[in-house]
Amino acid sequence: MNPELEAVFPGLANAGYAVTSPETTGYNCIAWAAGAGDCWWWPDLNESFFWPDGIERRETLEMFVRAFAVLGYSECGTGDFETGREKVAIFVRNGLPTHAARQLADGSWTSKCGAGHDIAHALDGLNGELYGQPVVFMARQSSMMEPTSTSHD
Amino acid sequence: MPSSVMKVAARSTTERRFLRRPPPASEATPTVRLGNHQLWILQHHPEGRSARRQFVFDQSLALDREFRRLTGEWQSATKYQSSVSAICSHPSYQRIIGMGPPVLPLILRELQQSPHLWFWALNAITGINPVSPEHRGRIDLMATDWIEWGRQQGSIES
Repeated sequence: MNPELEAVFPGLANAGYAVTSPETTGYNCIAWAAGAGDCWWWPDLNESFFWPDGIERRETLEMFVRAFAVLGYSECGTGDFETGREKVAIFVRNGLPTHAARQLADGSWTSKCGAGHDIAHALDGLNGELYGQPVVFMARQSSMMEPTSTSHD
Repeated sequence: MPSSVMKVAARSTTERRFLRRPPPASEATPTVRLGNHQLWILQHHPEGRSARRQFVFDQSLALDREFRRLTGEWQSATKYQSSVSAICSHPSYQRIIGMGPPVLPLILRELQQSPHLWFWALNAITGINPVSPEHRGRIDLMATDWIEWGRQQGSIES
C-alpha cells in the first residue's frame, strides 16, 4: 500500500486498490484511459501535448467526450460492469475535466495518477478534492487490446 | 552574503575617481545594491573583475538553489495532477518562468536527468517550440528535441 497515495486520495484505503506500475512522467491518465501508455494527452493551447486530430483544444468536458468518441466510445449511463463492453469514466472538478479511468475486465478500474503510479481501484476511491468525481461514463465494444502507443497519424 | 547584494568600494562618487584611488582596505565597505555604476566598475577595473567573478559565482549558486527549491515545491504539489494547465499554472512553476533566460540551462539539465513537463516554461522563456509535431505528448522525445535545441544554442554542453 502507498501512504502518499492514500493521503492524496483518502477514499482509496477503504475502497481498496493496488499499485500496478512504477511512477513515470511518460504518460498521463487521459492517455492511459485511451489505451496509450507512452504519451501525455491534453488539449493545451500551446499544442505541446497530444490531442486527437480534429478535436478542438479546449479544456471542457465536451471536448474530452469527443476525444474518447474518436476511439469508438459513446456515452452510457453508468460505470456498472457489462460483459463485452469496456468503459471509461471522466472525472470533473469545478466544471473542469481532471482525470479519466478505464474499466478492467474484472469490473475494477485502472488509473494513471498524474506523474505517479498506475493503480487498480474501485471507481469511487479517487473521488475527492483533487479529481472531483466521475460525471460521464462512455462505453464501446470490448476490443480486448492492451494499451499500446498513441497513434500520431 | 545575499545574492543580490555585495560589498563594493562605493565611497567614490564616480568611476573615474574610483579608478584613480581605490579606498584603503582598512576602510569599511558599505553594503549596497548594485547599480549600473557599480556594475561598470566590476566589469572594467582589475579588482572589479575579481569581485565580479565572485559575484557571478554567488548569483549562479543562488539561482541554482532557488530553482531546485521551486522545482521541488512544484513537483510535489502537482504530482498527481494530469491537467497540463493546472500543473503549469502552479505558482512555483510560474516563478521559475519569471526567472527568465538565466534559468534555461538549469531546466535543460533537469530535462536531461529527469524529463518532466518543462515544455511550457521553455516555450514561455524562449518564445519558440522546437518539438516536432509527431513528438507531441511523448515526454522523452520532447525532452530530446529541447536538449538538442539547447546544444545548438550553447545553453548546455554537447
